[in-house]
Amino acid sequence: MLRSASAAASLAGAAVVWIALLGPVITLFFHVTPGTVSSALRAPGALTPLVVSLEAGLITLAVLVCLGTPLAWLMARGRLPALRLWEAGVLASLLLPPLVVGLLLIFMVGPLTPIGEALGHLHLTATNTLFALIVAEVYESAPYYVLGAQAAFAAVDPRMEQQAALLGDRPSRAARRVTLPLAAPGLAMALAVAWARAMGAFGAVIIIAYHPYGLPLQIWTTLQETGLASALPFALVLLVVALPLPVAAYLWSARARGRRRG
Amino acid sequence: MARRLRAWPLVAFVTAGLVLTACSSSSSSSSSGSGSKPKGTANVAYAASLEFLNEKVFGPAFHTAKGFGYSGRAGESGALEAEIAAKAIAPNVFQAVGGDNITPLFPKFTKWYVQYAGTQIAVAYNPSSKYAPQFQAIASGKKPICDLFPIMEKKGFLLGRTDPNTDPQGRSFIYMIELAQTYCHLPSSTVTKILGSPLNSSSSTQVFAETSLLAHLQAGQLDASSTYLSEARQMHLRYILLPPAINLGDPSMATQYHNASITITGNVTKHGSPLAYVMTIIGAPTSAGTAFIAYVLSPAGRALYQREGYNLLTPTVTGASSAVPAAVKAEMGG
Repeated sequence: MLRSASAAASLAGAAVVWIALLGPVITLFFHVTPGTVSSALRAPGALTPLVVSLEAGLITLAVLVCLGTPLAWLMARGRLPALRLWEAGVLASLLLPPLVVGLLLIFMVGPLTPIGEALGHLHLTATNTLFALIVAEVYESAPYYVLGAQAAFAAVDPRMEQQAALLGDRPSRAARRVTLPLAAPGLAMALAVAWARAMGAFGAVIIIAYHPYGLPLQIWTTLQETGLASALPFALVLLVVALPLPVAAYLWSARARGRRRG
Repeated sequence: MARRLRAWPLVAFVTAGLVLTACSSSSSSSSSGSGSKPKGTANVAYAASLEFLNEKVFGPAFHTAKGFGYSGRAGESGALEAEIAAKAIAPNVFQAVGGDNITPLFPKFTKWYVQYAGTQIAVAYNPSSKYAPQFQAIASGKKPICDLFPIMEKKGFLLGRTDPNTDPQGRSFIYMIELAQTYCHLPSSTVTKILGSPLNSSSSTQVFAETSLLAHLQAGQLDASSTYLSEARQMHLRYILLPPAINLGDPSMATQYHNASITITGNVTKHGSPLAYVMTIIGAPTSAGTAFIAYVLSPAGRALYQREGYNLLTPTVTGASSAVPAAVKAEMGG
């Protein structure tokens, strides 16, 4: 009796917290109708921000995988001197408010900085371009990916890699055949979180990439130009577009972990 | 582990209780005053160009002088108007640049506004820009103002401005270039050479969010940018003063300014007009909101505006003057 009361209390507590967390999403569904979504999406050029967001988000993920994964692995395996310093560096970029990251990026990659001038030779500009949007999204999402990937690699028993090496695998082959498959569920989750951050990136974006508009800025500018009613449908689009990847990654990750437990 | 699991709902409820208690205590503290202090807070939504004045100077002075609290929210005038219309925000007072950002709120949210101060468009420049010597010569009067515009036309010139679809400053800068083309007898392609085409594009690489525009200039990443004169002075920027014929700061030249125009989102055509700050009360007047507007119009309030670089205009009401609170009318001498 006592146990079932405790279970009911646990369930009620969980439900309260879950509903509170979902509050904004639930509220969104009360304030958009199929009609408002349809009319917002049928406006000329309304789908462009969606394409821009997907394009920038996917390139951001590719950059994170290529550059963030090796760093995360080196951090997880303690292959870097003064490891805590490296970790503190990643945490520092996580702690900075995205708006501040954007302001500092002006100094770092603005068109008249050395980096900006070097980019100019490549016909790239990190201000108000798709490239700038990708830069902002990378900076907003990279710490989440690197820290998540580090945790995923740390969960892989190094002895498995050592055994592969004893069996003659070179480090790259051991990484491909042992480390990456074992860390994959955790890496998928890290990537899913990074994707969500990239798709929702706003603070750094509004500073260095006011356009082309991705979905978050489209919501902001639509709110400014025509008001809340026409802005909210784009929030729903953002949810619908951004959610499948994290959900798929979560389900796959959970299934992979379940299979491993046996 | 099981004990920990059993305990967590209690922790969740206690945490929720603490949060609710904190929220309720903070709201009660904001609504109650001590002793004979006036109650309430003036919630003011205002054009972002008033941010320094309102947050650093006027808000604290108002609180000290009148005892009411002050809470401000800066934004682009058109954006704030849209948010008020959508009931996304519910300020007591709305201060905008130009009455055309308040009239769309007639009569549901307000029936009047009062024009009380003005500013003018100026060009702020980067002292490290390769064009800085020329800017300095123009600013000091050694070179004519009309030399400014061919510089802005140059390929690779980094100009910053705000979105004409949402921000009066963005539109005013375009009006200014249009007026300058006539004033300086420049070729008819000058406007598009400087600003690109279409003029109302929000996606021009020159267009920045108002909140970040001057950050780009101060970081040395733009050659020049649009600014209000008051803003340039408050932020200690280098700037070029423009003649009254094009700076939108002279109410007597309203007819001339009207010749400049731009069509913005929604196929709405806007015309140039003197840059005037207007304000009104949104919804039912509160004592704090009314006191705020009355203080803006009082000699003490007007002195603060003048000190911070704004032009004082004779307060004039547009709309239903019968709806203007008596305390506000009293400061206007009526």
